[in-house]
Amino acid sequence: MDEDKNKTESASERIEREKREREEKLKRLEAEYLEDLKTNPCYKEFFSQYTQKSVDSFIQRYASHKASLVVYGHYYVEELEGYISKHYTAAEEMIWDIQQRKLYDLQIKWRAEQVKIPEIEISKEFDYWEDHIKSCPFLEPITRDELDLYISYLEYSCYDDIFYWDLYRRDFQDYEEFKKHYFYLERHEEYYRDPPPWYEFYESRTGLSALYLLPDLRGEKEKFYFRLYRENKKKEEEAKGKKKPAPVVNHVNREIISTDLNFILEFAKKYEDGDTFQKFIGYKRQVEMNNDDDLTDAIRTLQSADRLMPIDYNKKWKDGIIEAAHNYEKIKLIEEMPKVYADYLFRLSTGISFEEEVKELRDSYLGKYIDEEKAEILEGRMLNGEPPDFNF
Amino acid sequence: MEEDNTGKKGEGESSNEESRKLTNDEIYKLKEQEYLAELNANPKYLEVFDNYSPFTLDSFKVLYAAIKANVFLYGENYLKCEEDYATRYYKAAQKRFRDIQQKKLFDLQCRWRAEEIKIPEIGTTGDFRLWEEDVLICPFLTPVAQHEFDLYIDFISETSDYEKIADVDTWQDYDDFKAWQKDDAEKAWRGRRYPEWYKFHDSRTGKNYMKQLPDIRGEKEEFYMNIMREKWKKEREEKEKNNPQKEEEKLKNLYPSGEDLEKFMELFEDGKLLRLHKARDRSEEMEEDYDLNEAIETLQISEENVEINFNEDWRQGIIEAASGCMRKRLIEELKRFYKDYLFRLSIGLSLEDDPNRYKLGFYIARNLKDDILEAREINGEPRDLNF
Repeated sequence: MDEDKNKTESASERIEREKREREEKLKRLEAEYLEDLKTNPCYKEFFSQYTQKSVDSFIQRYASHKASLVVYGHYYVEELEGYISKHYTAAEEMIWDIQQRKLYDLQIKWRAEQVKIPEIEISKEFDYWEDHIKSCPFLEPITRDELDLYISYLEYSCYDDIFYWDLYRRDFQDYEEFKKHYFYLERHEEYYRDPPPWYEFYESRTGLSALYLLPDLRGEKEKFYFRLYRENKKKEEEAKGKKKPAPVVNHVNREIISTDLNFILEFAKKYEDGDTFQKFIGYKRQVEMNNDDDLTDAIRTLQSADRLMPIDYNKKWKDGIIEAAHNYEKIKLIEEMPKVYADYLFRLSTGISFEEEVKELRDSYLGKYIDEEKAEILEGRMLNGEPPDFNF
Repeated sequence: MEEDNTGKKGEGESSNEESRKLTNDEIYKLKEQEYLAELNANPKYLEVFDNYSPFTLDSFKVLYAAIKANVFLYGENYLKCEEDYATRYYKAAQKRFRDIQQKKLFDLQCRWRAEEIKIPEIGTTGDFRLWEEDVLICPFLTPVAQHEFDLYIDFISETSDYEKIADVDTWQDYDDFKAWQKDDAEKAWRGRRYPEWYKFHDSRTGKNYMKQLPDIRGEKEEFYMNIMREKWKKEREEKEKNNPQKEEEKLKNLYPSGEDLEKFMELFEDGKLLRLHKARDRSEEMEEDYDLNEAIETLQISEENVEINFNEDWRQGIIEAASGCMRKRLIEELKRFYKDYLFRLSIGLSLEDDPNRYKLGFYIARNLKDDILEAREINGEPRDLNF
């Protein structure tokens, strides 16, 4: 806890320091510009067209305005450009969904032992290439037909399917879960993850859902070796007479205190006087009105749109506004796709690499996990009297 | 609790006294620390805290202390906002209720100008501007009758754009309304739109006195005012002859905004600064879209969920949704106000808002009367208003 507290304090201290530095810079620049405007002869001719009183006031205001633009101006540019470029950025990411599906098809075939892939020794490695899809060497480049199919998917799908799934887009290669989902009606096995909506559209258009009928031969073999490894491990531990785990101390099972504003208000009602409590109520309303990020984001999106967007009837006004912004985002995403594809082809033809997002944390975690699984399989192989390799 | 509160208040006041030079940020931090220490030390909070996992209490206390410090600094503003949300439609109703009497006053003005009627309280057209500001206590208007009130409610119900109901800044400006109906040039510099409520009223009653009746009295006043304008012109010319304009006075003013500012930047700065300036301008423009922000606020504070209808223009759609909500609330509060009005009338309570407020109409009426009397004198006529 103390460590956390120190971290928070140092973070807030850093914020304070940066704020102080910006304010100092603002004052210094303002003084500098003021001096320049007052003394530099280059302005003389221009200022001579105006009354002295208004020039004096202009100089004061201009120096302060210029300093504030130099110190804070980039925030406005970033904000505006962010709203304009976000559609291209989204398209740039989503075009790789096409390759994810191709990788997934390969995974199914690899598991059925229909294909061999030199870069893949165990099934977990598909997770690695999911994260490095932009540099996956064994996938064919995206074709125009594939892009067109993806654009049809975007046109056909609702905003939530496209963007909300995309918010949590971490699982394109979860074979086990997607297979359970496919056979749910038949087998009633619980599953925790829906496949990407894009996969379902792709399967409906290509008929490739039949791939799920292929057997998971490779997966079954991996499970066999894992089982041998784990059984052996258990025996070894029992032989060592490993101590039983210490009994869990029974902590008092208390609830976590809420930091929700409604709870804060309940607390204030109990402990504050009536007048202060009314102020807390006013505070809550202002926070809710001014910090409605979904609404603000939708309005900024519509304000910075390159066309006048209509709004549809909605029982709830706020949902109507958000839906209008979502409609625009979807239109723009579809419009940006061919531009992103042209850029993709250009990079392919000139050999410029696709910038990969830095995923150090996941890489280190995943890399370690893959190494562990490989070691377990090799040990399982040896326990079965087979050579320690992946030729099974 | 009572003792605590009194103690706290006293402390707050004295610390305010001592810390006049502290910035809000500094006060905020001090109060935040004070409240956090109180949450940690005062056993009265244990009644609640004992129910929760001790590991999660720290973040709660930090947050609560921060909110309480914020409430200490800005609580009065929050209360004002709450009061405004609770009373804004009743206040709007108080204001709009006058519109019913304004139309009656305006019709009388048209008839007075046509010399159809005489009104003892009216000497010049300026006096209508005077009574415009005190229309609820205007002695020569009949009280608002039920059918008149109903007609006004019909108007609000049938006018989809709230702005057309509320955005009127003058009700008795006969000349400006007339100019609006004339050619574009005159409209551009002088005209004010004939209020929608007047149009609605005319269409229901079939009477548009401004169009139907001549402005005899107005033309007579104009004759006298022309005498005064001629006099003022001569005086101005005389003054200019004696005091020629100084060089400095011929110069323009330089404004640190708009075109002047951008022109200066184009001349003396590189493109980057201008780009930053334009981005800031655009950002402020988006944030300060007054009509849109007002509409959003109306919808946010509405107690019930408001529907939004299809509109080709999303922004207009939001404004219309808010407009519908405002009109509904306004009608409710007008009905309440009308009851209060009738009650006040029945027991003889004054309907005047604030007798001490500034009244522009008083000066307009007084100046016009003085000018006409002087012109009459210049023209060799008696110094009275019997013309």
